[in-house]
Amino acid sequence: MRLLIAAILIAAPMVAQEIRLPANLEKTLADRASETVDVNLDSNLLQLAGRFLSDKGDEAQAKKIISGLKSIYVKSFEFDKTGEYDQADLEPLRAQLKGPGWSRLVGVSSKKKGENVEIFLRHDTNRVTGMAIISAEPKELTVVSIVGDIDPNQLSELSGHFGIPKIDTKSKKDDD
Amino acid sequence: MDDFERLLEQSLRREAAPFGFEQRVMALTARRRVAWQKWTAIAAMAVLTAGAGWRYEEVRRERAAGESAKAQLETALRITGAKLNKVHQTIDSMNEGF
Repeated sequence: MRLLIAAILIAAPMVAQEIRLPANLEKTLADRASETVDVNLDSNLLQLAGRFLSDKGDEAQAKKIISGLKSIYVKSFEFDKTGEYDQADLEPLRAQLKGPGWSRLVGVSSKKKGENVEIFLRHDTNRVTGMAIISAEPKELTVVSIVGDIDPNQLSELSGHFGIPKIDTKSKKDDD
Repeated sequence: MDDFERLLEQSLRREAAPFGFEQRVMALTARRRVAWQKWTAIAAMAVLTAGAGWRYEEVRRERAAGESAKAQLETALRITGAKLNKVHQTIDSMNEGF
């Protein structure tokens, strides 16, 4: 019994890193969605993907980013009409992000557009070991969970790659 | 010498092989060797072909899995990047107001 408790205590933080939509909610949302994106890559698949990425352009960028990652989970649902999910539906997800090590980095919400995007980071001493994004829009819900060593600078370098518009990170005031 | 010894001597007497016996034996041995070599070659070819086919299938499967994983990764990075940039742009536009 003691061994079981010890095993659970050891395994709990590892499981806690993996932010997931509850299975029943995932199924409900998938049934209601007009389009679903489902990406679930573990370390083996990330390694395999890495072998097929070239050392040039976008793919070199991706290769650099995934080198320290353990898993990537992305669920994105697009709905034909609004009201297909409720903010309360996301509470079990947010509860996972209240676990040890997790902190909310930034939250952007627009009452006018009904959009709410939150970014959470998981820290382990001085390293970022996990990132989660919850993007709740009236007709779209996206959940991203990345586990592993993440360099936020590398992620910001995604702009200009993979069809994402290039963003000038220097503010206009700096230019003046 | 009694009958028994005579019979024994007759039985053990060296006799010349029938005419062409040696050639027939040699020809038969050669035919068997050729047949054996032919079947060995066929078996080796079959093993090589099966091995090459198995390897080709393995490489094909690995490539398909790799390409699929790569496509999934690109989709994941595209979505993640787009969401991060949305936040970035919103914060930027808020800063511009100040």
